[in-house]
Amino acid sequence: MKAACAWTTNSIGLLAMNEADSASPLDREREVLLMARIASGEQSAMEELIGLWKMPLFRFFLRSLNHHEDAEDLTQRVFIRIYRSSERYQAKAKFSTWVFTIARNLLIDEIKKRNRRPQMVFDEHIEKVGDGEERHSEELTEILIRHLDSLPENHRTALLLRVQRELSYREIAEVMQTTEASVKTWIHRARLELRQSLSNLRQL
Amino acid sequence: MNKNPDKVDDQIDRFLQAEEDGLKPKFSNAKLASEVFACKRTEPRRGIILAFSLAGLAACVAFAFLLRFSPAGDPSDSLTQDVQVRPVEPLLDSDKELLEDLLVMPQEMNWVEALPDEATLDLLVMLDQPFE
Repeated sequence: MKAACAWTTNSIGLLAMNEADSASPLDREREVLLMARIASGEQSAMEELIGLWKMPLFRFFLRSLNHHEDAEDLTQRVFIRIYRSSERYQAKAKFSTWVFTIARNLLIDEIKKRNRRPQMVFDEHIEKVGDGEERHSEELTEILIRHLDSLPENHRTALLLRVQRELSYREIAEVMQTTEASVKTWIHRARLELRQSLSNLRQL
Repeated sequence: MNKNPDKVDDQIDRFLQAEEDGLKPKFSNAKLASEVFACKRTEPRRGIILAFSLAGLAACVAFAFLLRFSPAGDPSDSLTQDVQVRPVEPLLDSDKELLEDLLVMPQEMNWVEALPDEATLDLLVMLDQPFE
């Protein structure tokens, strides 16, 4: 009941929870069993896990890096890491917290790699087709991509975990190894930045 | 500022959720799972990599230790180098005379112990010179 209330509070203005969310003890038990099956080399268990987490991870990486292929690559690498650590897995934290801690570590590595190769252009080209509302929507997306990309990694990640995964501030703080207060500040600043980018667009 | 902040937030959220962006068909669960499993099988174990790294490091340390504490380079090497580098100077006349004296010295006197140091040589030279 308490969990349900928390979910209702968190979900104001957000979409419904994704298929991979799990908080109840039953779900946790299921996750532990799933990891045990993966550790024993059961490929169907890995398929099941991939089915649950593939899209959430891909979307997180896609918005973090704005690069489709890199997002796919990192998604795959998360599953490889999960598989490697499946034997040592212990359900200490929420599964999503663990998965996104792995994802964020990989993301940070990727960003460091990119910073070492600054000459490369990673922005994906957005074709401007159509007219009227469609074109306006594309323009809006392009502006948001640009502004999201210019945000500090921690601001962007905190915002994405909040909006995409609906993680609580505490869970985001766990993933990012920081305080809840910092998470709130980062999300607030990130959202403010994106709002301003859109208000500038409308003033044009 | 915008007059409708809720609408703006909705647009931002919709963008962030990236719901319309999908994975390529090749990214199927079964294919991905088999790739993940194959990846672990082909990848060398971390322990093996660590062992090789440590062995390499130990070899480097041992080599550095040997270089540092091995007997200093053969002195003859440096002498040879000096000889090669320095131009040979002609002997002085006095040295020539001394050498000739040594060469003509009787066999019984021609042993190293008879000439222990430079002072003795000087004395011999003085004795050889006529008195004034």
